This record gives sequence, C-alpha cells and structure tokens, in this order.
Amino acid sequence: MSQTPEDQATGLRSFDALFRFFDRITATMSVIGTAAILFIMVLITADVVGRFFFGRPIAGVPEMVSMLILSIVFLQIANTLLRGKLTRADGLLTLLRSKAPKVGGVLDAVMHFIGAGLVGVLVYAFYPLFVRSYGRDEMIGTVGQFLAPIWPTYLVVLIGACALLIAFALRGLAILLAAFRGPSREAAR
Amino acid sequence: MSGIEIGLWSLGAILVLIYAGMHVAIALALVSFFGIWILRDNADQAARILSLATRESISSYLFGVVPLFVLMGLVVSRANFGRDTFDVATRFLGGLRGGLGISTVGANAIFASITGISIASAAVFTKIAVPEMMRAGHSARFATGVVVGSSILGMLIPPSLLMILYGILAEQSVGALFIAGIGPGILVTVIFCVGIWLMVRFWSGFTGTAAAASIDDASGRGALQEIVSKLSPIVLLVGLCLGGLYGGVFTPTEAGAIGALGAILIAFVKRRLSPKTLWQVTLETGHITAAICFLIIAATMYSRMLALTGLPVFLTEWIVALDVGVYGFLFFYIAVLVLLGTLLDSSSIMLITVPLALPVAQSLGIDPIWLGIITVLAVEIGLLTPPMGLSVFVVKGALDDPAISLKDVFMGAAPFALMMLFALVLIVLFPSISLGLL
Repeated sequence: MSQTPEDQATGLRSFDALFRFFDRITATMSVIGTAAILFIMVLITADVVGRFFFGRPIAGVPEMVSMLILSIVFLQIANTLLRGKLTRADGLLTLLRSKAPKVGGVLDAVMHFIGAGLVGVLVYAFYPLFVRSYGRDEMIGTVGQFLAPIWPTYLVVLIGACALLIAFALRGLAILLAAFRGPSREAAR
Repeated sequence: MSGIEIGLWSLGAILVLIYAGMHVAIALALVSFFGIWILRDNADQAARILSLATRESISSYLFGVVPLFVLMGLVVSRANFGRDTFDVATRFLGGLRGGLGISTVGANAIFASITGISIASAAVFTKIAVPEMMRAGHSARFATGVVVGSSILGMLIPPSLLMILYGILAEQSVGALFIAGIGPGILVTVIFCVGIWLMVRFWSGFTGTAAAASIDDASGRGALQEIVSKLSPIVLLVGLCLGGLYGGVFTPTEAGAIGALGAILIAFVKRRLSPKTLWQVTLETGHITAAICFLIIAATMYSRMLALTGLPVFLTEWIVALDVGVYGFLFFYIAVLVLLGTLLDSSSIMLITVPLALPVAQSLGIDPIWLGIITVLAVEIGLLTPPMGLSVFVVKGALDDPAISLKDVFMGAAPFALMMLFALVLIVLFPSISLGLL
C-alpha cells in the first residue's frame, strides 16, 4: 500500500531522477529516526532495570527522550509524506481521479503546494528559535545532574522541515506533471 | 468579524479542506495561521505561534509512549501471536453456536490487551479468522463483519493509541484512562459475543449456517502444554507491561518500552521475528509516529488559535445556558462524533472536537476520564461506517478476495456498529463501568 516515487513517474527523465534522489535522502533520514526509536526503547529499559536492581537510574533519560522524540518526528516526516502515509481523507480525490483525472491531479497538486507554503512559513519562523538557542547556548536538564545543548535538536527540526517543504513541492509537481502527461500509474490502478 | 465568528468559520474551513483531501495536519495549521493572522492583524505573530507549537507540543517524556506502544503492537501482529490466541479461543469456545465468531471476538479481546492499534488487529484477524469462518459455512458478510467489529477492541482495551492521544489532548493521566478502559472493553466483548450467538440462532439468512467447528481432539497433557505455550507469551507481556503500569511501578512510557522490548525478545526466542522484519516494523512505526505527532503539533496550533477566538468559552456558556444537562450534552457530542466518523479518521476527529468539548464538559461536572472513554468508543464507531470506514478498508485490503465487495463488508459490520452504540448508551448511563476500577 505504501507509495514510492515510481507511482508518480512523470516520464520526464531528469525530474524523475531528481525525485528518486531526494527520496533516497529522506529514506536515509528515516533510517536514522528508526534507529533512534530502538535506542529510546533500550535506554528506558536500561533506566528501569538500573533503578530496580541497582538502585541507580540513568541521569537525564526524560530529557534525552523528550529531545529525541522531536528529532524522530522531523527525521521521518518527509519520508512519511512521500510514502503516502501522512494522514488525509482521500475519498474525494480518489473519486475525482477516476472520473476526471486532470481535475483530480490539479486539486491534489494544489494541496501539496499549499503544504509546501505552510511548511515554508514554519521554517521561516523556526529559524530564529534555532539561532537563539545556538547563540545563547541554551541547555536542557538540571545543573549537576545532566545537561545537554538544545540546538542540535532544533537543527534536526529545521532540516526535517526543509526536507518536508521540498517533499511537498516535488510531490506536487510530480502529480501535476503526471496528470497532464498521459496516464499516470495512480490513475491506472 | 468577532473572534467567535472567526472561530466558527475556521471550524468550517478545516472540515471543508480535510474533506477536499488536504493533509489533516496542514489543514489545521493553515487555518490556525490565517485565523491568528486575522485576529491579531499580524502575520509575524501568527507564524511565531506556529513555531512555538512545534517546539513545545511534543518534546516531552510522555510522547515516548507513542512510538513504543505502536512498535509493540506491530511486533505482536507480525509475530503471529494473533493466530495463537485464535487457536486457544476456538479450543474453548469453538463448540458453541456461532463458536467461530465468538472465538474471533474472544481472541481479539485478548490480543487487544497487548496491542493498541485497531488497524493491526483488523489485518491480522482477516487473514486468520475470515477463511476459517467461511470454510465452516458462514456468509462472507458475517465473517468479515465479525472481524471488523471485534478489531475495534484493539483501541478500546488498553493499551490504546486513541486513549494516549486523548490523554495528551485533554492533559489527563494515560494510566487512569487505561484502567478506565478495562470495564468498557469487557462490556463490548460480552455484547458482541451475545450478539453473535443471537444472530446465528435467529438470523441465519445473514450469518449463513455453519457446521460445527472441528476441534482437535488432543486432550490431556499434550493439549495443556500447547495452550500454555501459545498463551504464555501474551500473559507474560500483559503482566510485564500493563501489570507494572497498573501496579504503579512504571510510567506509561516505561511500560511501553518494556512491553516493546519484551515483545521483540519473546518473538525472537520463538523464532517468529527475523532482524529484517524487525527493521521493517520499526520503519513502519516511525512513519506512524511521525504522522501522529505531526497531527498533535498541528492540533496544538489549532487549540491555541481557538483559545484566542474565545469560541470555547462562548460555546461553554451557550450550552450551560441551554440547560440541556449532562445527558443532553453527551447526546449531542456523541452524535457529532459519529457523524464526523463517517468522513474523517479517528485521530483527526479527536483533535478537532476535544479542545472544544472538554471545557464544556468540565463546566457541566463531567469526569474527563469518563468523557475520554465515551469519546474513544464513539469515534471508533466511525471506523465501521461508510463512506470512510478505516477498519472496513483494512479488512477489504487484507482479504485478497474480489468476490467479497466493500459493500458486503460494510453490511456485515453494521450490526456491530449498532451493538457498539448500545454499549455506549450503557457506558453513559452507568459511569461506574468505566470509573469503577479507578
């Protein structure tokens, strides 16, 4: 059920190659996020075991988990969109695509471009937060127990949001091109 | 335009955009952005609220619970634990009238106590139970309907992703919600079992006539050993993860981590999971987590915008002044949820309605935990109703049998939607079903 760039193949070779290349990048980011989920699982279990059997919890687990969650989400989000797994109700679009493929394609593409625009606003507004956290060396945790800088997490958020912006734009373009260049595979299914 | 008008317009705009096919999170964030822009006449400030919601809404220890319980649910589905529960359930219940259907419900109820996602249960039991029921002579409608209906137990019996989501939105204890879900989960299970028995007895035109299920005659020590070996992983997981949670030893996040790791280890020991499958399952977990958390970020933006419009306060005062009472409000609330459920997915409905309904409910003196259980069950009815019935789609997708149409599955699920509504009425009339264990 999950989608790949091939589903939106436009037939324009250079564009398809670019799309596939970008898809690989998001897949790599997603792999890092996936590893982080397993890491959180092991970390929390180790914390619980340490607390029960050795009377020594690991310092800073709540802080690490809270920062990692934010990173995980933004590492995965672009790939989630490209796999067609970002939550949406596609009843109307499916109907349109079977009845009037071009109208359906245009509407779908517009939805993606709006997504790109909104994420652009987010990137624009989030950038100052990152700069400030880096400039002031903001920390998370308690002095004497566990301290970590916040800016790496915000950097990941920023990179992930940029990737999502590009993913929205490219996928929108691909859908638009496919709608006007002969039958796309999505319509054929 | 007054704030309240903007609030109402934004609500309408969100519904239209989502229905038109915009990604739900984008629709929520977009409307919030423009809403705040108009309210404050300041685009920069609107953008800043978006970025602050991104920074603050999900970076908390509690959110570790989302990927961990999703991972646990996906691992146990992939490792065939569902098949084991079904085998054990048919052994005990298969001889009854409608025994295969009742076994499916029973197996789902047990399986639900180690998984928190209905989609996982629906896919697993379509492959296991539907062929068995049809081979025994049940109609396709009935067989698929039983699976669709009982799959909702996955998110009603704790752990439950929807309860986690409600707990986050309403700032309620996830642990308390889990405990409150036990009673209603058992209630729905019993209602389904009785309903199946009655349907098979009195409505064989719908269910088809089934031959008595063939049960292995192996008895004595061999059978006992088999049951123990099939059931022990589940008992172990429930004891480890939920036992610790209910006993107050673990936080929900810790219970999730230990449950997920426990499920992986047991699946490895039983040779049910290869490292490759584990990796695929974790990737899938990542996508689900990202989609849900992104929705939560967008929902935070939306509820901040709503607070600025003053709509929740207005709505609260209006409903209190109407003097419809607790039941009047709940009736209206449930009707809205079920109606939205025909079009939207469960999590989106909760994200849109809970920030509006919670202040009203609290001013009426409604227990927020009780409201959570009502919300989860009402929203789950939407998984069964056309045109957007997610569980029905999953079952149809997992079937691989073109002879069974989507309409058949919806028809089969309809009696179960009605039974859920009946259970919901009981839960509303008798709050102690949910709150008795707290």
